[in-house]
Amino acid sequence: MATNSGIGASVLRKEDARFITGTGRYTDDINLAGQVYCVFVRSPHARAIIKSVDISDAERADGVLAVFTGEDLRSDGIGDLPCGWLVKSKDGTDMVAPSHPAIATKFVNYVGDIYAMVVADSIEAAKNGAELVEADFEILKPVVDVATATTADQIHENVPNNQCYDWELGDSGATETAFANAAHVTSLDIVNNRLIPNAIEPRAALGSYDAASGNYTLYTTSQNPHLERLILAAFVNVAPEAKLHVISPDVGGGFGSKIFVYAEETAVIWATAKVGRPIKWTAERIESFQADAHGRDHVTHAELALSETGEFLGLQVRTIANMGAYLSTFASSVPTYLYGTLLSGQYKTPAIHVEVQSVFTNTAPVDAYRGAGRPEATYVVERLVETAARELGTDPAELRRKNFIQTSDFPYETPVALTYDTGDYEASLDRALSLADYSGFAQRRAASEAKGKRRGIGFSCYIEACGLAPSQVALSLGAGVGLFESAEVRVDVTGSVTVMTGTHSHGQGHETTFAQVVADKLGIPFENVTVVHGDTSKSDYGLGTYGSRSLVVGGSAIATATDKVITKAKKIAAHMLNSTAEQVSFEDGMFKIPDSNESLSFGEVAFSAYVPGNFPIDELEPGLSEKAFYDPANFTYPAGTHICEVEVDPDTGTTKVVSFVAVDDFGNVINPMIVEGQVHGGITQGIGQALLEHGVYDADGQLLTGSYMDYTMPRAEDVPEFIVDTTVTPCTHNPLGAKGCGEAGAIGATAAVMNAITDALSVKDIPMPATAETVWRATTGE
Amino acid sequence: MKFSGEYVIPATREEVWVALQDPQILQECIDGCEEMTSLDTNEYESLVRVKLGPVRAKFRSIIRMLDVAPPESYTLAVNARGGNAGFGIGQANVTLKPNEAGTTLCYEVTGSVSGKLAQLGSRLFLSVANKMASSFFTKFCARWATTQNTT
Amino acid sequence: MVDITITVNGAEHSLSVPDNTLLSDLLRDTLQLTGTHIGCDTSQCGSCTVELNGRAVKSCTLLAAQANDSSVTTIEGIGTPDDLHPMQAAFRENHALQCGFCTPGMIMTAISMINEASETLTADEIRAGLEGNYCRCTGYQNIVNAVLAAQTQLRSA
Repeated sequence: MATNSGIGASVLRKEDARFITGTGRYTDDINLAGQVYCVFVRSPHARAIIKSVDISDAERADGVLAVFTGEDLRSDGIGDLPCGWLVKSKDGTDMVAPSHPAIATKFVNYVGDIYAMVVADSIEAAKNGAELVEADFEILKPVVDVATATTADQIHENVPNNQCYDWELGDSGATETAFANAAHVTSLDIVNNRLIPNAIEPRAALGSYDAASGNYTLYTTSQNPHLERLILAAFVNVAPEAKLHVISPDVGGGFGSKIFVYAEETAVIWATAKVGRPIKWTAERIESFQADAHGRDHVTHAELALSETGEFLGLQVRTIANMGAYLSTFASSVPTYLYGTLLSGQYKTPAIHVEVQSVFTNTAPVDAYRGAGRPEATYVVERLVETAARELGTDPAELRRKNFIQTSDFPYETPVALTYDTGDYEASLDRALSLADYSGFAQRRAASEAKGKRRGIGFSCYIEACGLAPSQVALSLGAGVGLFESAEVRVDVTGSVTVMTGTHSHGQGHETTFAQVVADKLGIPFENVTVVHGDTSKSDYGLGTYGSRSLVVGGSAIATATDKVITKAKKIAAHMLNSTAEQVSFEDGMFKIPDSNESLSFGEVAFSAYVPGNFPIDELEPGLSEKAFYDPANFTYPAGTHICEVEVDPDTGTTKVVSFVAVDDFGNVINPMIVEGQVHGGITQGIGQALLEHGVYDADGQLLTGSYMDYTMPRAEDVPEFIVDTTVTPCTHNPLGAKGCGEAGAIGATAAVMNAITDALSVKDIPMPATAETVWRATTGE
Repeated sequence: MKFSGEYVIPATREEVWVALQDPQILQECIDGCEEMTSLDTNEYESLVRVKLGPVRAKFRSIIRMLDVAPPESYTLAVNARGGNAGFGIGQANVTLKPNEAGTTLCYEVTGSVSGKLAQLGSRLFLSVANKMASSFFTKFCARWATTQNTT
Repeated sequence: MVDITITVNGAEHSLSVPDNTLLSDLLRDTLQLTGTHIGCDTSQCGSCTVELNGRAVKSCTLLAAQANDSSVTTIEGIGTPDDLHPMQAAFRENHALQCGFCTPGMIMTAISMINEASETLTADEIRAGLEGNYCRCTGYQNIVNAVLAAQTQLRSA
């Protein structure tokens, strides 16, 4: 039903009213009576032995209430921060994870690693106290370079060669054979640059403790408050789950970086009981740079084997992935199950073999950042394919088309463990070619050259596995938790509806999209549906928001719970109409029985549910509220084509993205306006990676890009006006037919931009980010 | 990170040598120096306030004089702790040569900063270091100018 | 401590604050106007933008004392959910916000940009005018569209 507020309508967002009037409620906006503040004392060294920490002066400083070191947490039974995904090496052994205390005790392992915590009655006093914490460090030589980390000094006692695991996927023998039979092999050495996520709201935590009940409350900037609670309770041992209430209020962007359970909120919630006062911590931006989990950071050698006629025969990929100093919450899964499994792309490559070695370095932990593994996979595949087309003198669009998985091939089992359920890759390619006016490119290139510029065009036909995740698959691959989602649809007495979800919205507009789904299914006004999220005391459970899972998994749970509400309401309607539930139909918000003009509105049935005057109570319970736990049968596979055109000024090296077309297949779309916004934002982050962003450590492990003065993100002038469209093949295995849209832009865009730049410059590869200096050096050979 | 400089001081090499060992004089000449105490022969402790771009820090430093060859040359090894702002280590080779105008002092410094200082202040480090050096020698030289004026 | 008199969203406040209090802290902590956000330490993100005597300023770079005898307008002072400023309405209608964190600063910058321009701004000029404000969610296109839409309305008013 495509009403003006139902499924498929660009409804304006419910949540905007508070955000545009400054009445949003982010963690740092919340203040509790008696609240005090904390500052973390962070290592200035990339790697050092902590010989001693003297807190005596700090403890005596004005306003300081307490100073804690790692020993205080350890002796109180506070455990290490865990990694939730066990990856096995190719020899069958488990990955090796170093101890990761919230506050370091014996060693500091990256610049920003915490070694003390100062609690004081003001931020100023806490900062002054932090200045007085005296640590005696024995500085050790840090391991910084990812490519040589396995032969460098050993960082962690229990991690030989600094290797977390050496993983593989695919058939090495078949791939070798494919290369032996190849007419042409294209190879590339690729560095996927380290990125620093930089949600504009810095991370924050506000903890409080009620001694009478033993209850803890933690407000924090989390993408998944239930998971936060689970880990703090079950692994870190702060408090039993039932005594720990976690609230993620409005959160100002996440992009993956707020999935993880960090040292800071762990220390805050623990310390609040020790100090007996609510404690607030809000990161300064330089702390975000130092201690938010970073993203990407791969070094890869990849080869594509092709037949004489341009068919892909085999793909061989070897990647070294940087984990940073410790294993963050999901770090191990990113360069494996979210990367290696995507290397088939949109293509019928029959043999694929990938090896991934994950290593530790003395840098900030690396974990999921928008796209998480899938942008890296797309970058490898799409840079290789474009390069192969150039080497063979083939049109890059046509080489792709020739190798696409065809619509008749679905369900298609890839050589890297996934089964794509549906798609139509030619449809999105054709639409993108048309929107990009591909046939007019030669003319535009000539026009650019006439004014002394170089113009290039680049493609990226990406695929992603989204809707994380089918629990059975995830658990068999080493996940520590199931990845279903829960929902509760609670019909109020007067027929309005409150929806509880375990996902969390931090920009995605769930309060609107989910309300559209429920309003549409129940035939009630959109305004009558309220969506509640981000509070462990309100929704049963949930795995949160990441991996483009919220609508696909969370929305499906909501749709399922709504269906249960309808089923129950039909029973009530049948009772009221003296009929049977089987006879009752429900359409446009009205319950009807055949051959009768009698009907009941949803509101009438809801009211009756709570005023059950003559219910047969042994058959029909009062009330109208249903729950559902939805576990997806498979991943979803959004896919599409991005085409980027750039103009390079060879005199200055400046690259301007002059056109960007994205045609995506997200399956069924609930709110096109919101989806388009997600695509714009994703593309912008993808362009940022290609042109501007780079997290850089020097040889001493010092973070050189530690503020917005040195780490460059796209500003309004750095991006063009995007041309965005969708094609639709509905997902075959969830009730909404939706595939997810949150990460597509960031997954597809980077390769398209770099393919365009290398086309403009007629070079095989240049490193990201393609800053003016890098491009200028490439053009001048200097 | 490296920087170097050369100053002509209007005093004899011996006078310069003695002045450079005097904690009182050093404290007066170093901008932001709040304490300078002699711990031992050829070892000092200092407390200096420095502003490096957006980072303000109080550095407690241990300064050791190595390879001391009076009155010609010595090496300063500095270990500076700036608390939460970061850490600095450095080494300065100082040589004194007599000339007609007095004494030529040459120094070569190698050093590195870490933590917040490196993150926010590293690209300002050279200009701040040069400014501090220039200020030091201006004040240091002015001692003899003052002495001369009063005599 | 320093004594200041400051008019915020039309209400005059006489306060005594520590000398080093930033205007952003005064707004957020003392006056509980938490719509003004802090996103960085180096005046580059623009989330803290407010109007000071009619011009957009980054409130994290000003001391509260520097705003003595001044008039400040924050996001809370330009409209309410029932009576939105045209720029607020345009942001909503054009889906110019996602997480909402940069939004107050964006809106204050945009209003000031339109007010200060002598002529109608083009989309490119608006992009240039937003260069002091980071948004990590939207990719800016819808923000530019919102400012264009609000501009039409503000200029015809």
